[in-house]
Amino acid sequence: MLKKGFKRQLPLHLMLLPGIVLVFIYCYIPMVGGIMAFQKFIPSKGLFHSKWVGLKNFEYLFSMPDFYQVLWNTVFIAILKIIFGLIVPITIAILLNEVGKSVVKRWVQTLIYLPHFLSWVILGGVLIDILSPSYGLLNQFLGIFSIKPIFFLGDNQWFPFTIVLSDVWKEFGFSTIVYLAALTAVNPSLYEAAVIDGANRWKQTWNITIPGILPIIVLMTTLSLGNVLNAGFDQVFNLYSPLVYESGDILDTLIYRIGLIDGQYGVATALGLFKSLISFALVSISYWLAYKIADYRIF
Amino acid sequence: MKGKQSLSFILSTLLLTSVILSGCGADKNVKSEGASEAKQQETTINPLGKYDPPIDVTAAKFITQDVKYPDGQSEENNAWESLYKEMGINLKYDWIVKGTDAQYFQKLNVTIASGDIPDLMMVNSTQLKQLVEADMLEDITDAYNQYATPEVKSIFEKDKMALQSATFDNKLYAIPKTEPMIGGQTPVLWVRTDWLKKLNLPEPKTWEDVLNTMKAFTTQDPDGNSKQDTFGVALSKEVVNGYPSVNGFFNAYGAYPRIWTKDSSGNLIYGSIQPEVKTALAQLADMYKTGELDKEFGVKDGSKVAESLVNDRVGLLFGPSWAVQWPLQDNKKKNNEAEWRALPIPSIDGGDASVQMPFGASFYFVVKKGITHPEIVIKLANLFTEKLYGQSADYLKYGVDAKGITTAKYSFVDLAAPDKDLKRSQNVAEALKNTDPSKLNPEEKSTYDKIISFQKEGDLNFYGETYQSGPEGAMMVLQKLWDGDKIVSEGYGGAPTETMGEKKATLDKMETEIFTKIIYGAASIDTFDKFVEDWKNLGGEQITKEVNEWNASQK
Repeated sequence: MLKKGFKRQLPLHLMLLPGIVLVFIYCYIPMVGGIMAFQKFIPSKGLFHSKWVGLKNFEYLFSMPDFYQVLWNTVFIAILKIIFGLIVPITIAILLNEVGKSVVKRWVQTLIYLPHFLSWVILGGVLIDILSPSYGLLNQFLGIFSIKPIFFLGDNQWFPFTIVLSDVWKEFGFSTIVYLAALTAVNPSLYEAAVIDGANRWKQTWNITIPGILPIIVLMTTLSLGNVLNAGFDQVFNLYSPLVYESGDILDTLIYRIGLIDGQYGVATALGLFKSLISFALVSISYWLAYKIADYRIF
Repeated sequence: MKGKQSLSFILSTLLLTSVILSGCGADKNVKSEGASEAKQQETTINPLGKYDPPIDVTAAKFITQDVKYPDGQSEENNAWESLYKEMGINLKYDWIVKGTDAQYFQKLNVTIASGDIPDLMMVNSTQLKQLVEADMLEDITDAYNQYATPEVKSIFEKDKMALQSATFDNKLYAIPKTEPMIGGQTPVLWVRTDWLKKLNLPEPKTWEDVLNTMKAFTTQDPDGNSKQDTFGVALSKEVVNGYPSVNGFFNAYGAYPRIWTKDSSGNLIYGSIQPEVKTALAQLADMYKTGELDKEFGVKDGSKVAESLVNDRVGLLFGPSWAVQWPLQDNKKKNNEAEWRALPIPSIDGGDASVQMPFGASFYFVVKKGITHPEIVIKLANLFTEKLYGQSADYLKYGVDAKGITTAKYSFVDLAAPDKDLKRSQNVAEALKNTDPSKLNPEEKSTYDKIISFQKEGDLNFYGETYQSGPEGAMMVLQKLWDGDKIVSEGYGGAPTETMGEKKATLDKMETEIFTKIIYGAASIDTFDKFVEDWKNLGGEQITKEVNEWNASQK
């Protein structure tokens, strides 16, 4: 019986195989490199002959003068990104869902989706121009309301918010599509019943739409919590400058400098491992919370 | 079922182990044979002689992205590869990286980590040190003394630090890839002379003049559009060592950021923490307040600053000799009135300032320990100088061909005298004066032709070449400084020391951050004193100690 079932599913299992192999090769095998975190890694000596140094790399890391500032910057930027990255797309998705004309809906959807395809290298150059305090579009616009020019990319008070808002602007179109897809799954008869009961648009949204897509919201939140220590390397790297190191230097840019510029593979790996452990803990907690609060299991 | 599986596992493991073991055994045999053969060879020494019978050498090859091939030639089949075959050298490439040097060195790190390195390769200073410490490289001291031609030796006579940096415990382990740094990285003062004329300003001869020029270029509307939209001097977010950077500006004050210079007692001191830097920073902070610096320089990289230069917004730049090729030439193309000239940077104490030059060799050619013909790397260097500048030279074939394609880039080993570019300028100037290019070598002839075509036909594609290497060019300015002993070169030529490896990036970041903040006025000028203290405490003192230990070991 079991054998027969297996035979029937064999093609499916085979189709799964390439994916599993890729994940194994690119996600599991490199984990072996994690032992570098406990070594003074020297490439010519390799992974198995470099000197073991125990927790020295971690001690070095936590004694770095910048470390706590950098950690704080990372968490601050990442949490803001998670919050806005949830609220904005959900709002837009619900609003779009209310738009009757499908032409308008599709146009808006495409337009807000477009920035997702641009790389930060390109957007970095564009944003420096748009946000320039002397000739940038945005500051000229603010000038109309006699607001003094703001140095968005050079001012430590503004920089984290500039990062968060530009990231949300780039990515919200993509997430909106996910929520729009979830919205189509809500049973229309629920709305009909609500109309008969005399519920207005607002009530329908609150009592049907949001509970309807709650599982997806929980899923997306849970997944994004793993990113609390990921503030977006390619974005920050292309937008930051010595002026805003204080508020914009994040763990990934630190890893980049330690690992790729200094060639201190051990310390950089230790930092990477530290990041992974925290993220793992956060994902586990959020999974547990999702189960407890929303009674939702992802796996 | 289960039994069979474990059996096959054991079998395959056994097989794998035996392969590995046999591999080790074979390797040893080859090595001992090689050593004895090398001893026999030593009797006949001919620096440019061919190998008969031909020898096989494995190598790793790096090709930069800008390398092009004439019709009918390719990576495997070109002037240099054919020459090597003629000489009985069969270079076999284990792998080739075509791209950036970062990609090449990354790949090489992997190869080194695997322990199976090729016979011949180019490494960087960190890898050189690692390989020497891991005892994976051949000592080529004797080979160098016996085989190097006078031409090759003369290059290293002129750039003594280069060989020193490849010497460990009095043993030479590599041929440094020396580069003509004087034209590459040494700053001069570039000025828009058409703006000077327009505003009736003298050519800046003293530092006072330079400061006045910067002020006038900011406030007196040199571009004539009745808007105050110009700056005194170009600066990018990489204030130190960037392009453009403050290096030349600092040099005027006798400050030498990011390099190690010798003090009066011969010890090496770090340039960025000297009191002269503070004075220069204070001046820059003042200039920022008065609007002589771009308010946004802190977020602009080199290409963004280039936009300002091309669009007539800046008339002064501290930059290398090639700045006129990029981006200043584009400014000339866009606005034909623009005229850029190179001047020596005046010192605040009068006269010309001494300017800083980074270390001339960052890459090294090495051979693996135990190979049969360790002198191969020296022979390749001999061939390079011989075929380009020696008696049997054929520059059109091995240097730059008639269509302007640099065939010299196919050579495995390359090196240049530090003053190569200066000499070329001198010879070209001489030839222009006598209108007689017959004595020029083909490289110089090509510069000569370009200058002629700018002068006669006004071809703006050669505006840069003319004012870099021509009689009025930056090279002439640098020649004057070179002759007057006004070049301060990097005093540390070793591989990164242990503490440098650990702390340098952190210290460099702190330096750039503090300097930028001081210029922006976000930190007071006295923050500099705290920076010096912090620099010392966070590893700088230890680095200074290590650098001076190296310095002492070189004497």
